[in-house]
Amino acid sequence: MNYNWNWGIFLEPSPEGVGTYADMLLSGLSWTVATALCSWVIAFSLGSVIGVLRTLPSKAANAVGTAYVELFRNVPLLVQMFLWYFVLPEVLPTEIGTAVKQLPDAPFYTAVLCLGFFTASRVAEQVRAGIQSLPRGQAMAGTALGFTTAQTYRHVLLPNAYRIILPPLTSEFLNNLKNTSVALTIGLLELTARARSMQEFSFQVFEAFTAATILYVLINLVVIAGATLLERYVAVPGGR
Amino acid sequence: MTSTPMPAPAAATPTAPTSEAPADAGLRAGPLVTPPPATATAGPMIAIEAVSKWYGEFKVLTDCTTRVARGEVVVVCGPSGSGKSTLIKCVNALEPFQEGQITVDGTRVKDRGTNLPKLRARVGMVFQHFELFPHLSITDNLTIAQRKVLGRPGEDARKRGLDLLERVGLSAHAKKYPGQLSGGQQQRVAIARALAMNPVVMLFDEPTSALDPEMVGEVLDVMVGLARDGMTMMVVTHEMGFARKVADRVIFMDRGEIVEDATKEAFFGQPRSERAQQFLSKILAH
Repeated sequence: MNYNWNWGIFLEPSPEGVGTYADMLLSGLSWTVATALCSWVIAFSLGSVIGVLRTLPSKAANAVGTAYVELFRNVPLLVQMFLWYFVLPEVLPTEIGTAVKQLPDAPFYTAVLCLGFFTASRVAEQVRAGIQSLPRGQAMAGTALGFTTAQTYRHVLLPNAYRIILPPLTSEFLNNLKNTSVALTIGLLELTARARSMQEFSFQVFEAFTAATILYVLINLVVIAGATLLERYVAVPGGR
Repeated sequence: MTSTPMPAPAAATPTAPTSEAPADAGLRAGPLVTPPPATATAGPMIAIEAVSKWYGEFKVLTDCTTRVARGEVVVVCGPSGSGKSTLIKCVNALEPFQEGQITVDGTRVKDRGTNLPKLRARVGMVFQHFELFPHLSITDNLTIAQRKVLGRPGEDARKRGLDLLERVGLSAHAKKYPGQLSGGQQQRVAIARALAMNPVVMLFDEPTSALDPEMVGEVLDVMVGLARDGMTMMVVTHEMGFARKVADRVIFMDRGEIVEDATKEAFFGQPRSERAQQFLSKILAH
């Protein structure tokens, strides 16, 4: 293999004029983290609502929840990204569509919405599984004490369900973080996009993607450490 | 079996000097099980009238009619699958029923206008599998519904919860979690949790069936104490010793029907129906 290794490349100025290649990658990393966190807020809250809908006795609520989940988890993420970015502004009324297209950081907002809605369908299934894994008597006990349905979910079912599904939710969070890389296709300058441009500018493909890989792994390790601490913090004495 | 001794009621210590009479004075002194004033002073506490229920095609309750008077202790027994648990869950509308009507303390259970959460808050229920909330400490288990449903201030709820915990003999465990208690202890906490809401009536759905034999006694002791204090109780159980000791009436169910509804003396003396006789001979044989 005829390849000129150059690990010093990271300290060389990037062709963008400001900063080094390392700065370029780190700016990509910060977009990755921002996108992951913002989309997770949507994914977690919307996913919880959808998951709860699917456990309610109401047939209408079930239908809404099921329709949502099946729609968003059965269309490839890449396709969803394109739909949000290229198709949605065209089907909106002209002025709104134009405004959306001219939005500064449009790829960021689009990626946040797209990932949020996509991951919500997956979170919803975890939440549903968590709630359904609880003994039926738990909901009955809450109801028998005079709790409304909302209070039963708020004080009894969800606190227990979240504890049970914390490990798979952590995986879901990690997936969401890695899925941000799909947003490079709509122009978000996140970590993978930055590694690619570094490779194109400098031809140091191995260095660029080694650095990106290490950064992804490091950030995921931080997430895992955080999740482990959280699991320990919410663990119930003498219980699950 | 002995009844759990009551805590000395006289030693109610005022927590803070208050000028106005504390609204919850009744909680601190007096017997802990005194229910709040009933909404309807006349009439039975529970009236079950011609209740029928289906699970799809399958009829689980057929034309059940009975009454529980104020202060009465009624034991419901029968073979498994006879519908006794279903019937008791209909009383606070945990299970819907298609025909008939149930009236609890003057409030119709099957009525669009009835505020079911409000009704259920006045009906204590104890489950076979305790159903304490595993993520909450014993204290929080005892106070959460008082605070969130009755709107009691935290300190009052805590005081009442801890008083009741003492009554069921578990004061030392206030800070523990349900998973750290034995089954018998959990069930006693569950009884205290229901009592904390000042219910007008208590429903028990096989409260000792999931317990190890050596823990049955401690739970029954608490229930006997409650009965002796005058609590209105409807108890689904196979504990015929309990029925003999405190029941006023015994209802025997089979295949979704109330086959026998008699005073304790009549039921144990000479059950009229053959099915009840067979059931009794089986259950009392050992």
